[in-house]
Amino acid sequence: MSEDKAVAMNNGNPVMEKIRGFIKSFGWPRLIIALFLISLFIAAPIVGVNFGSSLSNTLMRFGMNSVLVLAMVPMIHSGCGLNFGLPLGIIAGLLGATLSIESGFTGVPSFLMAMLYATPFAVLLGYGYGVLLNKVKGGEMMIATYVGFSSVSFMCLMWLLLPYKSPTMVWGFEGKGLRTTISVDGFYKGVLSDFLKIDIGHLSIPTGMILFFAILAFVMWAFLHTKTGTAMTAVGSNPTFAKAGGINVDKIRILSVVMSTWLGAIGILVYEQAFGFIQLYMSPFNMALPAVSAILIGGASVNKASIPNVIIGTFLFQGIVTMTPSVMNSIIHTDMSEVIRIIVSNGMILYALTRKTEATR
Amino acid sequence: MTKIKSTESFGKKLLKLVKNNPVPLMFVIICVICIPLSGYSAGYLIGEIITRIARNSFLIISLLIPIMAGMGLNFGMTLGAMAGEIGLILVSDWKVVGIPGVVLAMIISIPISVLLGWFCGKILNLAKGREMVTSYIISYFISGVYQLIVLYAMGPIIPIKHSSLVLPRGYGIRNTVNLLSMRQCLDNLLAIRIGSVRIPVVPFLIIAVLCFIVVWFKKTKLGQDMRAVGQDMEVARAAGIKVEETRIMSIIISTVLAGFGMVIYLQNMGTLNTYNSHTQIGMFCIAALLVGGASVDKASIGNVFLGVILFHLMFIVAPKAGMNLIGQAQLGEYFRVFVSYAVITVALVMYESKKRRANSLTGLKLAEDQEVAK
Amino acid sequence: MKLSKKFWLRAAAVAFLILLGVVMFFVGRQHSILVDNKTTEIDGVSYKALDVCEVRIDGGDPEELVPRDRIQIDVMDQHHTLVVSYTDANWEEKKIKVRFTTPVKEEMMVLSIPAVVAGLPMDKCLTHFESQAVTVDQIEQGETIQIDETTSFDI
Repeated sequence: MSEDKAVAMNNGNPVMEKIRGFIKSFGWPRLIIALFLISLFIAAPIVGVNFGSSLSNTLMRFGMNSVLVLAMVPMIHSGCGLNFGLPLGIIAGLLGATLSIESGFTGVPSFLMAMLYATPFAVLLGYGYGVLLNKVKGGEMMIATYVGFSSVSFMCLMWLLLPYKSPTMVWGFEGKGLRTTISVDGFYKGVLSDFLKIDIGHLSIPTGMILFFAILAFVMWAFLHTKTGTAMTAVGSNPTFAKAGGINVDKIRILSVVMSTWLGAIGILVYEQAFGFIQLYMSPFNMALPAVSAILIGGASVNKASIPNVIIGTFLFQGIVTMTPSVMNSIIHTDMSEVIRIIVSNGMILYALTRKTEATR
Repeated sequence: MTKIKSTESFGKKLLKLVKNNPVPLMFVIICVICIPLSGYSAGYLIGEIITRIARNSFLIISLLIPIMAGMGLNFGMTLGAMAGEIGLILVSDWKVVGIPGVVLAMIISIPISVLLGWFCGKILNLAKGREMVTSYIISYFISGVYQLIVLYAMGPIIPIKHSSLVLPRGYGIRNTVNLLSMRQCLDNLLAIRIGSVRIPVVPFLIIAVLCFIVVWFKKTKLGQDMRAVGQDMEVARAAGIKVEETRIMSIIISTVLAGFGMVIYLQNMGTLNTYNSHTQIGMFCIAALLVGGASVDKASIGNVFLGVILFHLMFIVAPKAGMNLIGQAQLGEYFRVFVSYAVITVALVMYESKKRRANSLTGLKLAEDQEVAK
Repeated sequence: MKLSKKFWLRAAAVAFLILLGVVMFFVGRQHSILVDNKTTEIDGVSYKALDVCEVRIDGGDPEELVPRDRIQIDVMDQHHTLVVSYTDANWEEKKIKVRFTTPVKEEMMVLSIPAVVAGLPMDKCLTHFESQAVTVDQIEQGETIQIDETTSFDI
């Protein structure tokens, strides 16, 4: 009511109205987050935080996480909602990574082999996951969350039991069961992040990693403009209409889930090669939430997402995650970044879930 | 002839039992396999189970009311748990001990629970149809706010005097808060011993009273309204029920009860893990309720107790069984975590697919009717 | 404006809860009493420590004190009874029973037994105690906060 009144009062001023319209379409939370990040970047040099190194940190983290965020896109497009089941894809990636190391590949081939090994797992798991999600249309997100959780905890058992032998990965004294963290040093550490790296003073740009993301993002963009891609969008925006148009809804949805799962698998490999470690057991558990909130911050909603959403969102989210600790620490000598991250990311997801206009399904 | 018929019906009955209660039966099987493997004595197990019924039932009962109102499993019960924890932190700083301390902690938790429950209910009203995932994210969100308060505001803004509670840096609460002065004060009051098993009478009495209240509540005006809202929101609205208010009310009641439950739970545990105690409590309570045979839209008090017994039996025996079977306690540890999540997943999938089938059936029926009308 | 019955019921419930909370605060408040058996000087008069005595507060376990002893007894509530049994200079067994109250704001107080035995009023015997001792907690440096949603599977 009051909003209408305010709009009516400002009728005479077209500029104000334009701004208002912009804010409305952009969304308050996004605007606040963007302003917050900008103020952090402005405050950084004042409080003595090096601008160049913080920007390179942000870029590094952008490269690490962007593919995981990209993994959200296909499922949102096909109307499966936010992919809280990202850990499933991550598990496929982890299987690929460990198998590649187990088979003794090193350097660039080990990364390629990890991707190769991860693919069948991602397709298989994604297919099963897609079939399951087709059975529970309308309640995908909750099921996805718990599919992620149960698969992570199931794999905890598997990491202990699977007969891995490579001494770099198993516990030294027992000779069986994988370690919680495995270094990828000597395998595929930095194959993308150090590739074509540009260093200018404090600023360093991980060109290879960003290029890799750009290729994947371009392929995704191109795919969304193919016949299958537009069919996917149609399924997402109006399933009954799509069905009437002769599209096999279930099949398209499964395809989108498989794509999301595969991108999740590749995403974690990209993450690991920059991070330097494979983290097993419970660590994939909460990896979905940052990716979900990143794409939402970028302007996506529960059933609408684009490549720019991914890029903007990952940059904003990772920018906040990297900038808050350093800037906050210099201002108030307290590291509140963790708490801010939790509140911002979950607040963003809540905001998206409660949008009435988007909750049409 | 009749004999054959009766066996047939018995077989059918059995099949029906299996079909209707797959989760509890699965758990019975797991427990039957694991108990001999663990090598625990019956006395020990009975004692443990009784302790855990007294410790956890209250929390689980708090889930019943939102289910009645058709809002699914209230993952937001964590909010109440956090309110209870704040109550306990304040009470232990004020040096109020024993049963008065427990009661005071509960009283302090009420306004916080009501506020959080109201917030949660408001948001869930904006996200109708996806209450569960929303309440799940709310629990994470409020967990962040809780950390903000407990880690930064307690000390400078909310006065905390004792250095045993505050971090050495001068603000924020330590990882663990010792509740020794309140430890098991409810459990030990009027406790009876039968053999080696101690029966905490007072918690059981409290739980019994709560059960009666829940049964009575179903018959009150508000309870009836909630059931109507749970069945069909539009019909309820047409009947003049304030749907939104009723839904908020159900969440508030659930949150307040969860706050009480958390205080009872923690006085039994004797220590409060400031940043971790509440995070998993929602998951375990929901898993236990589902193990007891409840579903997303239907749960009774019987489900609560069966669930506590079966779920916790599995929880006690699994690590030891894993230890004895494969030589790794860690395996059993992971196994029980996996089972908890798997149970929730299975229950959710069954509920959603059932709902979908019902929807498509009504759709088919509608189409048929239209066909006939033509 | 007429307020509904519901409003009054709710107001009564809130009032009752607040009242109950206040009562619980007073009843459950813990006081630590440091029971002293040493020679003290109060208002210029010296009171000699007892050779041996037995102290009991609120029907708790009796504690024996020799000269220069100090023990801590934790009590709930504000109203207490103190029973001191001792043997006086004439080898006569004596038992003194006194009632005293501890103010709510006092967390730790010192109770001087020689003064009690000499029959001084309780407000002279029972004095405020400011804890100045550096506890182990204060010496201990830094504590890392562990916020981990995935590790706490102990229920």
